Amino acid sequence: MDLSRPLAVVTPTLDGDVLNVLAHADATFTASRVHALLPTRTKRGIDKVLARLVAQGIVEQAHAGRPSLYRLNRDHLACAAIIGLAHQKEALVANLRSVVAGWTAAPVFAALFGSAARGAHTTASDIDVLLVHADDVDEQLWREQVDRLSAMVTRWTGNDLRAVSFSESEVAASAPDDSLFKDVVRDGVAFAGEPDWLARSQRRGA
Amino acid sequence: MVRTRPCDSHVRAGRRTKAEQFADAFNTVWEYADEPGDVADVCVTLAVHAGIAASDVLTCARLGVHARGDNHGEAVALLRQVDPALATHLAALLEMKSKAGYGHAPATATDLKRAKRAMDALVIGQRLV
Repeated sequence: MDLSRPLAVVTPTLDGDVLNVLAHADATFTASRVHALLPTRTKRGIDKVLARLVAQGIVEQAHAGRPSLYRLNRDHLACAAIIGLAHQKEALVANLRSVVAGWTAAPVFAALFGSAARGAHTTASDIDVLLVHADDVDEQLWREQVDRLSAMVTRWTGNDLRAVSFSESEVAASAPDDSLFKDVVRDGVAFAGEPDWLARSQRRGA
Repeated sequence: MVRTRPCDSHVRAGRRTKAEQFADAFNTVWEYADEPGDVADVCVTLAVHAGIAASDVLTCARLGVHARGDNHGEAVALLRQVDPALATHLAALLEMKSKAGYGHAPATATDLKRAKRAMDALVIGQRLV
């Protein structure tokens, strides 16, 4: 899947992108505001999509003044499914958090990073996660846990998981300018451990 | 009517940088303090600034606008359109703002923990958009 365009899982068209904008806010939008949020698309195309979605009843159009205002019809039978599709990235993080919370060998810290966290993800992208374990972890058990997580992520998304594992002391001994850890500190979405655990570890090593 | 200002990708990137800077400063000050109570007011104020900047990133990304002016209620109402749970965290931070920045009573250890929890949620939230 393409986490940057989550509705592309059912439609690769502009309709999906417009629905994604409307599904992420319980608010009214002018067509120009939708266009500002989808700057690579044409205003004319967005006008046409909005008209199509109004005809389907999933988007409401108000004529209180000019220009028209649009919002997702939250009573529509399709609305819950559309909101669910739009929030797949949040669902991925929630699933990751839930799975590792049940691990026997618990991680000290875990974070989603790379293109999935930066918003540059595509169907061809891996899903990158950093996993940090205790120094005395049962390595066999850890590997089994990571392998199971990898299979789950592929089932959830269709993308490969690229999991990089380190021990606490390997992180502590790393160079302060290690590019992988810098990426995670800058963009990472933590799903286990204290959110600033890695930043603290890097400061202590500086 | 919430007063807003349009924002583009440059504004969003700038607000994100500030959110991350304030959050990093919070964590650094807290970590190196001999006693967390000694820096509670400073940390709460940093958390508030991080939370406001993160909220701007979220509304810029999802609505194309951010809140204008100092009306706390308007900023919370705008964020509620995007994420009601994160709006509750922003409201908690803004409640602490005046007490930490201008009041005479020091922020408590409970304030500090609440501020960190709210700041972390908002900063992680803005990384997801």
